Amino acid sequence: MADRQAFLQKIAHKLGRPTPTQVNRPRWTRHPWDHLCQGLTQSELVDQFEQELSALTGEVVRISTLQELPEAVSRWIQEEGCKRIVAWQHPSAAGQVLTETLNQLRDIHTTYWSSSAGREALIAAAEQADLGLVVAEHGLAETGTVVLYNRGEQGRLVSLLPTTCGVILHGSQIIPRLTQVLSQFKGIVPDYSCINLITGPSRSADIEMDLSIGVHGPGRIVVFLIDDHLS
Amino acid sequence: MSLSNPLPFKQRVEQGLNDPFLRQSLKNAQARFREGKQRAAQILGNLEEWRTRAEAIRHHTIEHLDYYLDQFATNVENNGGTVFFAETEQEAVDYLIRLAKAKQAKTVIKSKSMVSEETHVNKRLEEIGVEAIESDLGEYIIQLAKEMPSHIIAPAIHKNRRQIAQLFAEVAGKELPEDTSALTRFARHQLRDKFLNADIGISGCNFAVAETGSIVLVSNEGNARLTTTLPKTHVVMMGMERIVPTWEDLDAVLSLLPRSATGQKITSYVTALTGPRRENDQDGPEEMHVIIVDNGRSNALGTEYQSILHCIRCGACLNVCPVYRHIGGHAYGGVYTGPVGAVLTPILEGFDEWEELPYASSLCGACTETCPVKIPLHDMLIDLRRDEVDEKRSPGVERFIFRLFGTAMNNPALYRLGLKMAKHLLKPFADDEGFLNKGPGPLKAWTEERDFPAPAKESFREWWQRAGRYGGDPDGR
Repeated sequence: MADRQAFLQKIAHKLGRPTPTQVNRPRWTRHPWDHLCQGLTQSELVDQFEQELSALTGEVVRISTLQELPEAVSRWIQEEGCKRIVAWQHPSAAGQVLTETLNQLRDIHTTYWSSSAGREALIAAAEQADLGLVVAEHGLAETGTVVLYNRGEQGRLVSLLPTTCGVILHGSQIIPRLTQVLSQFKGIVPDYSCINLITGPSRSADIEMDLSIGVHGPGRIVVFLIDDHLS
Repeated sequence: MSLSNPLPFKQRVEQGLNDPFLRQSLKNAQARFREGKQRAAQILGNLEEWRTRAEAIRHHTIEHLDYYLDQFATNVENNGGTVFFAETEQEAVDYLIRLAKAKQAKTVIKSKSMVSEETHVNKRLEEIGVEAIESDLGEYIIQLAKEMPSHIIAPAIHKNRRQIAQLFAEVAGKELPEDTSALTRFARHQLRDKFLNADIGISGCNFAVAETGSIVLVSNEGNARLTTTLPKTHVVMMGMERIVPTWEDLDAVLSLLPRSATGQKITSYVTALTGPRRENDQDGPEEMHVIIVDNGRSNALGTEYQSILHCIRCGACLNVCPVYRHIGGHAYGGVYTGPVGAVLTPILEGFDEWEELPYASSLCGACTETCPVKIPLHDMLIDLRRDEVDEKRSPGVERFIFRLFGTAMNNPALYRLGLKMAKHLLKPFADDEGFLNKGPGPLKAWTEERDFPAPAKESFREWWQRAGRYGGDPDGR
């Protein structure tokens, strides 16, 4: 069995030097991504996010304020005929509004992801749900991506097992691209064992290059986008 | 490595050349991927700057690989994960087998992992009675067909819809329509159950981030997410070179990977995993094991082939290669196909089974030109050929002829004599247009594939002596 030191020493030997105890990383004065999505107003970033996600068949429901979220979400759920929902309990204001909204819906069964509920029951609920509702930390304008931090009441499977993934996102939280979110990760990932960047529905082109949607994950993604950046 | 296709190289090539569906689908796929990549490059506007940065990051990382692996492993352990360093295929699989036995595993679900292909994990698990199921749709198809991937990002590109429907029908025990959405629905339904009941999930690792000990996985289907969320034990199989120092460095390679592969700006899912589930988490694995695999990769370190370890497995070189287009992935025989396979496989495993691979190239340089991390693939193919000659692996007749040629080139009188003789000796074999299409002796192998120009009636040297510097034109002074 190779032990760690022997494994690393072999590499050092092949590279013709001892294993370094310190490394000077190259410092860059500029980056190849500097020009991407720069100089756009927040409104332009939000519009680009919408365009990019729509191009991938993602749906965007624009909502003017947080106060209008309950009505918009309820209407969407009724119109689409969702019966079983699984949802995050997110500590943000939007998360609380979402919980209150779902609690008031009649004839609809909602399971909240919870660190105190049984794992098997939660998985079964997510597996049978028509809609999984989550709250995004960020949106990325360049790609139409939503960024989800998973832990505790914010289960990973809520955005994965139901047939549709629903995401609450504030316009003010849309940032230009991957760069701005990755720059925060060093401090954030130790607190979250899983972070997901989701861009459009689950897709595959493995059968004769023919695009197929909903292979393993949701076949639909809908983003309830609160235009708080305009206020 | 045992070949899934045990035929010799030339017969594997023949098989590829005689499969019209394969050739057409490769042509279509290459065109689509290539156009996608070009569009993505246009949108970026400064692709060369990206390539230069990505190359610099990969170069720095591999030059300090031991340092970053140590940092990564320490951070994985601090996050509650377990790290195992496997120098060989045997060590990697033995660790996995021990783990499977300890967990009393009955089924293992896998998301795409080239390292697990390389180490024949499925076969070894089957030997101890553990069912291993591929969850990537393309990988699932080729698993049912008992084949290897023929493309890094489109493993089942060689299969047509009818063949896929037949493979699925065997599982279903009934006929299935030859329709993409019906077939996909069947696979989804079939695999959901497997996910929910699997004891262990095995994933690959697109990138490992040293500064936090995180694993980054990209997928379009979401199967990597299911694999790493549902089973109670998650095993990551990563090639030791799959590392980046920081999240900032990840930006460059993660942005280039999908753009170079399919032209997508980003894949549907990018997942960052840092250790197993935490105290209050209900989903995610209870244990995370990371197996860091050498398996021949260190053969490249400190040599002129070191930069092959820069590869980010985007498959862009496959998508531009004229040889790959004609012969398909299986002709390469190994897990890694196309130009990168022709370079990497002999480095990982030596020339013994793979001495033809460096010759499976037209040396047009398209692979080098397209590589997002600037690996000089076609130069390496020439260097590998040189190494084979140095090891006296080229045919004896060829070596004799080149020795003869070398002697003649060093001796003007011999050279002149040789030219004269060649002219007369080859004359009977030339056609009306002055080409040999059925050459004698050592020229036979060449003229089997292409024509060879017969020596001119008057050699350049003879012409020069006759006409001199005035170019043979009496009025041209």
